[in-house]
Amino acid sequence: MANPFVGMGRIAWMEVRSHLRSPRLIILAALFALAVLGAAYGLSQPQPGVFQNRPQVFAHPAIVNVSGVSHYWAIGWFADQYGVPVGGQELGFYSLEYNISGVTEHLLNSSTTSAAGFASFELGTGLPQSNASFQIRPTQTAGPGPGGVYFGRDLVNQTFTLVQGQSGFSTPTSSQDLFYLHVLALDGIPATGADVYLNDTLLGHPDANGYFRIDVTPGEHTVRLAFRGQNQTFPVRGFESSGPIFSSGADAVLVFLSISLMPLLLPIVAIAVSFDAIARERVQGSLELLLSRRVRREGILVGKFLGAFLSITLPVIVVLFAGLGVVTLASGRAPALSLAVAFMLASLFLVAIYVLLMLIFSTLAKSVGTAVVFGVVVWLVFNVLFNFLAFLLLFSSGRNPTSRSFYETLSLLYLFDPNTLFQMLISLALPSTGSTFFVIPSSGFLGPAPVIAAGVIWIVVLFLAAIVLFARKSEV
Amino acid sequence: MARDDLASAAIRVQGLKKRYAAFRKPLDALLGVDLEIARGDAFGFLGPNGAGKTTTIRILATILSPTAGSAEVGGHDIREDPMAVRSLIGYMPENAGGYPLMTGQDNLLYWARLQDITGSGARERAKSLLATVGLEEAAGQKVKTYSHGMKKRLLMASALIHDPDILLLDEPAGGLDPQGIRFFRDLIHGLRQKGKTVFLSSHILSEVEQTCSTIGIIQKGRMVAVDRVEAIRQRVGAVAPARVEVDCDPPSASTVQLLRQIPKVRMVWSTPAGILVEAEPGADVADEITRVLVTDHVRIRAIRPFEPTLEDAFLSLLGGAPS
Ligand SMILES: Nc1ncnc2c1ncn2[C@@H]1O[C@H](COP(=O)(O)OP(=O)(O)OP(=O)(O)O)[C@@H](O)[C@H]1O
Ligand SMILES: [Mg+2]
Repeated sequence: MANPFVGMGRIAWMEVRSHLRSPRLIILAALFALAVLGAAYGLSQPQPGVFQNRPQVFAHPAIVNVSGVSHYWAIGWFADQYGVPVGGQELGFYSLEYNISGVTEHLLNSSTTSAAGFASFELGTGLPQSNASFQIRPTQTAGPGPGGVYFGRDLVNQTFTLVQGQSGFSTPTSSQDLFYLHVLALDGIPATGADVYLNDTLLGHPDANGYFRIDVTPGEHTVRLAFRGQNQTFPVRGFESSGPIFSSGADAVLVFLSISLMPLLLPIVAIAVSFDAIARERVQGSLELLLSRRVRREGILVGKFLGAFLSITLPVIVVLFAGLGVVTLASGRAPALSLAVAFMLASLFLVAIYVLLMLIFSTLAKSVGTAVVFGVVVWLVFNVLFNFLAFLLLFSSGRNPTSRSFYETLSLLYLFDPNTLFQMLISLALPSTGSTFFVIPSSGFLGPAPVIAAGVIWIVVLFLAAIVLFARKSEV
Repeated sequence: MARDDLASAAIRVQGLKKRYAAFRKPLDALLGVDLEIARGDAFGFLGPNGAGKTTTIRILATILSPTAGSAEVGGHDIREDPMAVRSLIGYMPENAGGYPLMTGQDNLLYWARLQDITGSGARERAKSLLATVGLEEAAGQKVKTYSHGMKKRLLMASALIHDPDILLLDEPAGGLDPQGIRFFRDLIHGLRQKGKTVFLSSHILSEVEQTCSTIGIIQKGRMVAVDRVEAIRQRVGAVAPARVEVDCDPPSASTVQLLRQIPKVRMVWSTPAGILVEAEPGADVADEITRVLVTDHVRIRAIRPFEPTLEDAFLSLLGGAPS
């Protein structure tokens, strides 16, 4: 059978050559590189995120026996979650009164923390009412974490008082899950002699301020505190790395790039390079010359496609690899191979879609001006209009936006939007511990088969449409 | 494989129709064109603006597909084997440039590659063609800097790059200065001497008259006449009015009246030099005019029957064509 693509290679080569020499591609590639590398670097920096290690008040009740008389105290230790105390901070001791209109607080006393972070407030010799509530907090109104003080009936039987907390944080470079204890003996002195066990293994003792920190590994644990014959156990749950950002910063950056940046930039690059691929030839008259040469219509179209596609993907791949490199260097960890591969392939897919769309519209355009308009319209349709119309359609059909069927239908609609399809394709390669941390339109409602099928159908249909249209409309 | 008579015809067109399907109203550009051009012949394709010359040439160049009818170029059907046709033809469009951002030489090399001519052979061919069309010095310049005439020369070189047997030239001399016109005329003569078949369209009648052996006249999508140049000129006799110019003293009104009464005479005008008589096509009225003038004592200095030119043929054939 005769080769239907005669001339393809030569036309593609010619196209690549003229693109690589044109300032248009060079400028676009430079801007693309700037955006991607900038974002890759910026996102790879540690982010002040969900967790902020701000100091807080660890507040305790205490009973001090002075010649057989019990004196009641409230003790506040002002420190951050790593147990670093803050001295010189004025703390106020407040009584809280709950009523219908809310909470009213009365400042009872105030005191400045010592170098070790402690401030104490004496209440007197009578045990406060069991329903009385007290609070210690920095006196400035916008102060960080207050601590509550409670005087339970059985306080007298305890050998220690305790404040515990658990906190996790992550940056693209690292993540930590920590469990901390602040232990004072009943008389308010730091319980340095206490034993802290993790799953019955002795870990150590609180520091001079009564602080102890455990870096928790994922899974269920038991922490036990023993002091002067009293034991207290706590179940502690180490959180599973929840999603890309927690498992690997590099993955997170990649996912972020593919959600926010790529659907915006790749179409622009693809459209700007290929919008006039046919229209320009038609206008300058070279199409007529080309059509009378020993090439087939299919060869011209596929050659044009390959030329534009390769011209775009060459710089794009270089930039994306550089982006992966920046992410890896800045975060000290390479992204998951599957994710990186999916990222590359999906990017090529997106470029191919837009080049094909532009070839189709470029074939229809009778002038370069019309071709420009078509390019802008295509970009707008899939970056702005599609989402809007999809939601409008679903809402107007009276569907409940909180129902599962709403999202199932939405996912199906999104298969018609190459930008979202691009994100779905990447989401197929997300590590299985993937979380909902990022609102990536997941393929979860559909599964991989329809998403991949949709991708293949997009390419095949556009290819056939472009070839058929060109064969019919190439007549000058 | 090809029969002898087939092989002898370089171009054969039968019942060719083309309808441009525009959005609102379709336009019939060709209404059934028949042509047969022998190998080695030079065919002049004449017709007024919008007659369908470019449409016909583009169909022969496999750029457009016909709506009906058939066309063979070099024995190959343009629909069934366009690739074979493309190997044989060199097409020079009416209004195209090349790739404006490439040099003239790179343009030629590109067209060479598309015709499977590569390497040093292509470079040598391009160089000698650039010399032939007089673009040696501008070879390294970008085409966007070329003048109209230079672009035409480059197009000619592009059409010749693969040494095709059949040349389809759409108004090759359009918009050229007299020197350019002469250049193209000489070039076409040279091609004919090499045995190439040349199919060229033109508005410039004298151009066609001098370069072509056969002429076809098209109007409104139909062939009005196809014949050898001399035959066309003769046929003009049958179509164009016969004219006789007489240098003489001004005749009196009664003499003019007598002249008008000569059988087959249509009109008599007085001119500064004397009179002009128009008669029916093919009529020989010179003797009768002389007799009348001599009888009325009008002094005759000269009497000249007009030789019909191709220009007359062209215009009269168009005038007499069914519309
Ligand atoms: N692409 C097209 N679409 C629609 N109509 C067309 C197209 N090209 C030509 N025509 C019409 O077809 C008819 C024949 O045009 P064509 O260009 O073949 O004429 P031509 O003899 O080459 O004229 P000219 O001497 O002006 O070059 C004209 O009426 C023209 O308007
Ligand atoms: Mg024309």
